[in-house]
This record gives sequence, C-alpha cells and structure tokens, in this order.
Amino acid sequence: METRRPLGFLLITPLGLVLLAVFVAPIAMMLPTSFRHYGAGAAAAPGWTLENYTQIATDPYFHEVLARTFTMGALVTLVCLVVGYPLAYVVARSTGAARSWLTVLVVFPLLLNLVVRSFGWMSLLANHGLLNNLLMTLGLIHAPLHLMFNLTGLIIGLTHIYLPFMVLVLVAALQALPKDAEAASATLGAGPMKTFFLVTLPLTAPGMFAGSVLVFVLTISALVTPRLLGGPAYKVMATVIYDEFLSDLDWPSGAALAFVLTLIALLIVAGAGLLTRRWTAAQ
Amino acid sequence: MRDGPLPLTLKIVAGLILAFLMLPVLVVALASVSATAYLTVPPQGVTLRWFAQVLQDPNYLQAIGFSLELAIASTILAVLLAIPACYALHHRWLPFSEAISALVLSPLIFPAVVIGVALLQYVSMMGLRGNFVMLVLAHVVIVTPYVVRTALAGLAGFDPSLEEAARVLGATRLSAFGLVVLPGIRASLLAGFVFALITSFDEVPVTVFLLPPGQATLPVTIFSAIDLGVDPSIAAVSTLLIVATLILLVMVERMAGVRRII
Amino acid sequence: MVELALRRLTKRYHDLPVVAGIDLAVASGEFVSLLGPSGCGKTTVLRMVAGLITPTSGAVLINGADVTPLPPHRRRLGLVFQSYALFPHLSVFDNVAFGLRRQGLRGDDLKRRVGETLDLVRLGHVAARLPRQLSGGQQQRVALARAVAPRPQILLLDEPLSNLDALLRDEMQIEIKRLQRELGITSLFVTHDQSEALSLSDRVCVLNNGLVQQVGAPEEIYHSPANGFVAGFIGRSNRLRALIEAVDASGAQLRLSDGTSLRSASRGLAVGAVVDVIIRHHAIRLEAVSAQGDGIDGDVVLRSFSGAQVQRVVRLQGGVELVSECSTGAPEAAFGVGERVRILIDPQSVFIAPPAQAG
Repeated sequence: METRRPLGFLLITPLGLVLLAVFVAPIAMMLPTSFRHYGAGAAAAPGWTLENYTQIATDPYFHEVLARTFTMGALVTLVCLVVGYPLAYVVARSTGAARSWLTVLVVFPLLLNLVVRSFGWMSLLANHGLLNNLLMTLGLIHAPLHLMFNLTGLIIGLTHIYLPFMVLVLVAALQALPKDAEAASATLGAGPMKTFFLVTLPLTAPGMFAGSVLVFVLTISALVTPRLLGGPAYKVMATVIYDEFLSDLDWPSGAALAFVLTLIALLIVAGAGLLTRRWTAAQ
Repeated sequence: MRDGPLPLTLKIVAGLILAFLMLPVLVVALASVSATAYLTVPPQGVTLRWFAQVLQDPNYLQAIGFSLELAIASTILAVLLAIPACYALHHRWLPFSEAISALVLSPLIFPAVVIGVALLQYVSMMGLRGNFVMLVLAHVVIVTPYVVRTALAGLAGFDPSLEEAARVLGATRLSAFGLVVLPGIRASLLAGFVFALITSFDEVPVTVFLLPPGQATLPVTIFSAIDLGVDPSIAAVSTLLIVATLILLVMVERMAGVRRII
Repeated sequence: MVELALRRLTKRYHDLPVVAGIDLAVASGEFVSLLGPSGCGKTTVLRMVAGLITPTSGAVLINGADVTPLPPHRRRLGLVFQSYALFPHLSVFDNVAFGLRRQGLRGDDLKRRVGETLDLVRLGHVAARLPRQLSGGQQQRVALARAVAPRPQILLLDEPLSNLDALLRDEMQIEIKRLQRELGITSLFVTHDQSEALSLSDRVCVLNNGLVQQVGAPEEIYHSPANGFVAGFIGRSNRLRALIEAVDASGAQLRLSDGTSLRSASRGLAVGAVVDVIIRHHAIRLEAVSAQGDGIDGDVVLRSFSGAQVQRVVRLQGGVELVSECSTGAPEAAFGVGERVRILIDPQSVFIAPPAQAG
C-alpha cells in the first residue's frame, strides 16, 4: 500500500473536526461536571467532590436502579436469544423469494420508529388496552392485569425492539456454518435433534455470544421504551439520567451516572472483543 | 446449512415470532381507524377522522416538516463528510486507521442518552441552546456510523483495478473517483443514505435535549403526546409513519437489497 | 516512436526488496515480456512503469524523459488488466471512449475514433452493450481496444490471458500480436507462462527474486539459458541433486545421488559443492545399448505419447529416473517400456543451479 498521509489527513479532517467538536469535546467536558457539587438551577456549586460517584455505590436508590437495569438487560438478552434462534434458523435455511420476504419482515420493525412501536405495545398492554379488554370480554379476568409500568411491560417492549438485531447476527452465524458439518453429523448416525445440539448449536456459539453482547448493551442504554412502558415510577439508569438533566436539574449527579453507564457499556464491548479474539486464536 | 424441508413445528414457531414482531404494528394500524379512543373487542366502528385530525393539526404538520428538514440536512452532510474519510480509511493512508475507524463508529455503542446530556451541557456552556445547526451536527455524529459502515463495505467490495484503469487512461484521482468509484459503490451508498435518513428521522434520546424552543421532531411530538395521555390521533400519525417506512424499505429492497444496510 | 528504459528500478516493502534494481531497455515498437514465477516482482515492475506504485529508487524513462514523479494519468500509457477491469456501468462504446474523452475528444471525432478502434478488434457490432453481456474473450478484446484507443506511448499488459481458457488464449495471443504489429506500439507484457512469452515477444526478460536473470530473444533464452534458474524455468527439465567431483578446463565431472557420473560444460564450479543439475527433457537422447564405448545405461519404465512428442521415463542402473523427450518421427521414438537403452547427454546441455530447498 502506498502511504499518502497529507492527502489522507485532508480527507479525514472535516469529519474528524465535527466528531471532535460535537462528540469527543462534549463528553470530555462532562467529566469535570461529574466531580462538582450540586447547585441550584443546573449550575454547579464551586469545589470538587467524589460524592456523585460514591452515592451510586452506596445509596440504596441507585442500587435498585442499577439492579433493575441489569436484570432488564439480562432478561431481554435471554428472551431474544431463545426466541430469536428458531426464527434465525428458519431465515438461514430459506432461499430465494422466501428468504427475501423473511428478511424484510425481520428488518421492518427494526426500521420502524421506536416511539411508534412502544405506543403499539402501550395500546396492547394498558389497563384499558386491547389485551385486558379481550380477556375481560371473554370473562377470563375481572380486573385488568398490570402489564405495563413494570418489568413485564419493559421486557416485552424491549424484546420486540432488539429481537431483529439478535436474529440478524444469528442468521449470519448460521450461514457461516461449514456447509457439510450438519450433513457429516447426519451421515454419522446422529438424528436431527442430536445434530442440532452437538454440531449446529456449538458452532454458532460465537454468534450467540456476539448477539447477546449487542442486545445487552443496547438494552441497558435504552431510553425511549423504558420511559414509555416503564412509566414515571419504574426507573432504569437511562431514564434517571434523563430526569436528572431535564427535571431534577442535578447535572453533576446525572453526569456521574452517565459515565458509569458509558463505562459499563464500553467495558462489555471491549471485553467481548477481547474474548472473541482469544476464542478464535485458540481454535 | 443443511437442505431439506424444515419441521412443521419449527415453521409454526417462526410464524408466531414473526406475528409477535408485527403485532404492535397491526394494533397501531387498527387503532388509527377505530372509532373509540381505546381499541375494543369487537371494534366499534371504522373512521378516518383521526387521519383528518392529524393532517389539520399544525403541531403535527410542523413537526413532520421539521423532522424532514433535520433528517435530510444531517444525512446529506454525513454522506459528504463520510465519503472522503472512508476513501482515506479504505486506502489506509493514515496512521492508526483502525483506531480512527473505531472512533468514527463509536457513537453506535455509546448510550445515546449520554451523548444527549453531554451535548445539552455543551450547548448550554457555549450559549448555543436550541441552535438548529448544533442539532444537525449532533445528528451527523449519530448517523455517520451507518454511512461509514456501508461505504466501507462498498469500497471493500469494489475492484481496485477499475480505479487504476481509469487513472492510467488519463483520469485524475478525483475524476476517477467520480466517474468510476462512485458509480461502483452506488448501491451501498444508497443503502447507507436511506438508513441514515430513517435513523435521523426517528432519533429521540439525543434530539429531545437539543430542540429549539417551540419546535419538535415528529417522534418527540408523539412522545410528548403519549406522556399527556393516549389519543387516537397518535395512532393515525403513527400509521402514516409505518406506511412511509414500509415504502422506503421496499424501495431499498428493490434498489440495493435490504441485507446491505445491516 | 517511443522507447522505454528502466534504470536501477527498485521497490522495497518494509526493507524487503521486491524489485532489486532492474535495468531494462525496450526499443521503439518492440514487444518485450517480463517472465518469471509468481512473486518474482514482474507485476510490481509493470505497476511502477504505469505510475500506480512509487519506486523506492531508480527511474522510469519514456523517450529519454524521466517520468518517475508523474502520476499515472499524465504518462499516456495503455494498461490491460488480468481481470479486464472494464467499467461495469458503462457501455462498450463508453469504455473505449473513456481515455479519448480524458484527452478532450468529443462529438464526431470521438465516435469515429471509438468506431475505428472497435473495428480493429472486430467488435463494432457490440458497442451499445454492457461488459457483462459479453463473453470473456470479447471482454478482453474490449479491454485491449480501450487501452490502445487513446494511442498510448506504451502498451502494458498484465497477464491478460490467464483468465481465458486454453482455446481462447491461443486466439487472443494472435490478436494481441496482430494489433501490436499493426499499431507498431512499444509493449511490455507480464506473464508467468513461458509459452506465451516465447511465442509473442521480440525479447524476453526473465526475472527471479526481483532481479533480471537474462534478457534475450526467445530462441536465445531457450537454447542458451544464462544460468540454472533460466534453464530450469524455461522448457521442461529434470532436476537432480549432484556433487561436483572434479573441475577441469572443459567443465566439471558430477556424481548423482545413485553414483552415476555425468559431465557438464559449466565453468567456475567448486569441487565438493552440492548443486542441482538441470537437464532438459529433449536434451536426453536414447540409443540402443552396444558393447562399444561406455555411457549411461537404463531401462525404459514408462512411455507416454502426446501427439508431436514422445516422453520416456528411464531408470538408470543406480536407481535415478530421468525423463527424455523426442519428436514422434525420430528413430529413437520406437523404444518402449522394458527395453534397455543407452543415454547420451551433451555436456553443453547440463546446467548447474544452486540446490533448491527441500528438493
């Protein structure tokens, strides 16, 4: 490869400047804020403190928020994995027009506005929603089930949002399977179930891992769906950050929580990358 | 993958999962033509009056216009910034190309709400709160990774000898790029453009912190309307968005193939 | 007319020399091949001539002018790629017109020139088609037309035949040669295929490890290889490990691994050195064993007939096997499997090369 540094710098500079000014700088400038005291009306009081971070580690309120966030992340990831695998398997095995249609059906919800999708779930799950309405009309229940503004609603809504990501990653993993591995297993006398559990599933483990990491990181960062389906009371990290900045106006505390969330997301992504590299190197 | 027919149970399971994916879409569409505020079983009457209401509501019309302006401006800007950068990254003309690529793509894994609050503090400090240009630039940061990803994939799949042939035939680097490379990666760029457009149009967690006073994008308007209580016109405007998304998706599938944008 | 000269042309990647100082002069209108195994640096040389790679040192001269610092678009060259590299989104007409348009040609002049060039490769009737609607051979002819249309100073060809099947390859060889003669264009042709190089070229330049091994007319390269590498690379040869037993004024005495003694006319060898002996298949003559004189005797263990030629594998008494080849009409062609024969090898045809790895 030829090295043309001056031309290269010239070509990357415009994008680089925008990223520095509108992405790197704002985040870097939030770091000192997270070590400030709370002051009235978004302005930080003078002096430095570690309190914003220590309260996340010690305050039971934050413990609950963190626990809730990670429970939500783990459950959504698990459900996406279990529900996504069969669908991914069918997509990967289909061909031609069927394949094209299945892909469009999986991608469509992904492209559809988050607010719209959450609204759809609200219409379904609310106390006066379609589901409760249906169950009550049928006489199966007498009082509406609480499906929203709690963990159930969040899991349903977030699974719906991140399932397409999981399916697409799994389809790619299934397609990358060595063509004859399954056939070889079958000719060696393994039945379809045995072949699946002994060959297909272990060979797609890296894909399952990659999809899980992606879904987990996206879930713990999500704002819109937790806010709409979780409501004002059931809070996770992203919605707490939102409120600290827009309603409580406690920027230092919000900034600290934002850095904790970012650090967790980045560490998971970096750690997963490292593990995957070790994994492939070991094989 | 193995050939041969899939077990029927597996097909049924996949069908149910797809139904789950489509369920909220169908519910929104049904609610938008239902006469009652909440969907009931059985539905009580069909009406188009919620659509009429939306199309006469200056709030929604303004929001649609504002969203389109913002999405088009930021996507065009993102493409203009990303193409030269991708060309340099593809040719590895820069030291630490890997690190630079990682930086450009990192808004994908950064929690959006964090970018949002950081920008809120930033524009407040600079006295630029509610500045439309800052909002556009914020959207550029968010949608550029999608453009960069598809553009780099397009360049990786492009035969470099085509560009060399053009240059030996007397084209400068710039005209070889315009005459041969750009047409060659057209489908990838189109896919990236559409995905960036949709992403920008739909964005809430960053946008909500940076809106100019008195103005809002369509998703933020819907978001606020939901906060105030469910109202059938939300279903109607949502249905309009669903239809628009579907049209774009079919267009992309026809022109470039949906697989390209993921 | 135009001549091309390379002066101590060198390219290193991370201090690894890929092209290690090449001097070559191509006369006006001459057709010269760069021939060598993959990785010998031949394509790198061609790309440096085209300006697609910047040399580490040395110079490329066209008509005596140093073009080394010029970008490709200012060198006025034609380049034919192995992969054709036709612009897929442009019609055949627009592909051929590409270089002419860069020279500012428009309108009727452009149409006339494109038409003339397409007629030259007999493809005037497909001008409106897209490249993917053409066969492989047609695509390569369009690539050729595109390269010569702007009347380049020098035509560069980078393995243009290796993507074609055998029959088309012969046809394209003739096409290239005819076009080159008609236009009288100075040409540099890169190939790893010796028969292409020998049949097309006025002169052949054999490269190995980034260095010129020999430059000469095809006959010269074939009949008097300058060293063991050229001898082994051109034609089909036996390659055997041997020890140099003695050296005298007329050459050297060698001993093969099975004890067989052999003479070579090569000079400058050191007694006791282990070397590779290279003997062309057709340099080994067979005759009936007679009581008179002494020679190397062996048994024919395999005979294969391939049209104009007959090959025999002869196992020497010590166990070493040699391949001998002669034309079907020769008297010795009659020897068959199981017959004992005497082997005659002209010492002039016994070439010496450094021992190959793991041979």
